Amino acid sequence: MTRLAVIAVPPQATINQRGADMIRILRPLARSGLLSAVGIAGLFVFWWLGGLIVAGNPRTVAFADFAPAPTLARLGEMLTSGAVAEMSVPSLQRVGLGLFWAALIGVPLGILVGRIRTARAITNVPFQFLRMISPLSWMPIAVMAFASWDGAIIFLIAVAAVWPILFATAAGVHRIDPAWFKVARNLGANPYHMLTRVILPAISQDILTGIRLALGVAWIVLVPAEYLGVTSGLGYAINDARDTLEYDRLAATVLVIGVIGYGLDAVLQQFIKRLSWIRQE
Amino acid sequence: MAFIHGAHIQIEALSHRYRAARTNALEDVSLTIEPGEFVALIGRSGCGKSTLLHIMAGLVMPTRGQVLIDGATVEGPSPEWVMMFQQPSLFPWMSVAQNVALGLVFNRRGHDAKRRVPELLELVQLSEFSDRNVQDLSGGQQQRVALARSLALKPKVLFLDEPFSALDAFTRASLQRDVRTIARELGITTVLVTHDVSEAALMAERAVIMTSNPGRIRRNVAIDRKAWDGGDAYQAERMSLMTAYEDVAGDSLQTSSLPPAASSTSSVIQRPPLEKTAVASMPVASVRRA
Repeated sequence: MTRLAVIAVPPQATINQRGADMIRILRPLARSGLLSAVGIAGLFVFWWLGGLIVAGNPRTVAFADFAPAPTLARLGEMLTSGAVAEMSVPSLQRVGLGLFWAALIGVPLGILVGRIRTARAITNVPFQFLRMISPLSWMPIAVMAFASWDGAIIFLIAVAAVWPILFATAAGVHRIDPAWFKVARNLGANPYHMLTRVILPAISQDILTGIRLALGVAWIVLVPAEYLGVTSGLGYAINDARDTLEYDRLAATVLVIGVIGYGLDAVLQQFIKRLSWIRQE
Repeated sequence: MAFIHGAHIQIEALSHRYRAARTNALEDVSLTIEPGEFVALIGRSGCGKSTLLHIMAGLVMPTRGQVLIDGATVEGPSPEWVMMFQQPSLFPWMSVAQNVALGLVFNRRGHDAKRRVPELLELVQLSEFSDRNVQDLSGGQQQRVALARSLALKPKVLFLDEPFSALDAFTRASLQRDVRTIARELGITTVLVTHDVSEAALMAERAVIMTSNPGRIRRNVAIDRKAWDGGDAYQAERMSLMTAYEDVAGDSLQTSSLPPAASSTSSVIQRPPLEKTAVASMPVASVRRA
């Protein structure tokens, strides 16, 4: 009955209130959208000016195709012909597999390091040492150790990605409220329950944050790693375009790399938000 | 909920010293608690009452001596005896019902959850919150969920480690009453650790007074059950408990609790000479829900 009454006689005040609420929610969204648009436009202006300068100088005029207009035209062609998908899929597979291995190694090790003080003390120096070595410096060893180029590239990505995942996981475990362990133990939790019911849910967000950071690193390592050996992927496409002097294709590929990287990061960010049990008021 | 037969607790010549500590946290403590009895351990901070409770619950192993529950030496935690802590420490990624079912899941009785959880939530008056996230609940409601979680395994002993001390006065009063009633109705042996004489007088049948450096049991004081209804009997029991404590410790404990029940509205609270916290001006109301 109450519901009917509300529907039948919508008080003006409520409507006004609702409108005010909408404006209150939408205004900051519109504002941030507008500012983002300004930023993107700024980047394009910069790019366009650069293109003008390059085209205006007789010594660099050969690179004029780097400018926005030829690049975007070429990008359109590459999208319709399927070339973008063709070069992105192998790269995404490599990054995906590299992250998979990094998580498979990084999460359990991170839990161990976060949970056991002795493990932390033992591994601290070696891990910090290994972390500071550029993943690409493992390249010669990777090429020798793996039978396929693909294997070597996935290894390099995993080596780069394992550290953010490991450290974020360890930090998450370290921060778990000790009372949760006490309560669980008191209720009869065995180590398996402790892991699946307490530790993993408690640190799910830390793990994902680690994976998000790792993705950023992996995406950066990917392109130089793909300069080597393989004949597919975004890194190869860049090298190939340079060799054939197709600078519009090169710039379009750079654009694709940026857009995919941004997209993946945004997806992960949304995923983290969705999975979070921490209340954000 | 069915009647649970409370367990018998026997503490034999217990001593405990923490690593790097100079004196014993507990020294030669012996105590017998009858099945279904409600005992309060009182004493000031550092007297070892909480340590004693943790040892009884198997969460800390004593340096010397032993605790027997129903004749068996306590060697670790068990679903037969569970503890409620000062903080509810619910798992924030779970609903109320999932938190309550946790003990059942840990003890491979998850299949019982469907039947037991609604029963337990009814017992603690939170049925309509079953699917809510625990972060939406007030402090008192969270402590009620923790109580339901503790009772899920039908324990024979309930250990209460100052579970009401972080709550506001009204919430505390209603929870004290409800926990006492539930423990009584289920027949669970209950051991409460508190630094609050009023709380002991309000809930327990016997108060065990402890002193510190080293932690020792100094006196057992029986509490008339009439005190539970509040009013003059409660005041009298509280006063005599306070006097007994002052005798032993030479100083007063904190008393901060509300008068126990709505029926005591007419009673003007007489403050004992050394009482530190003013309670006389507090309004008395019947607060059923925390």
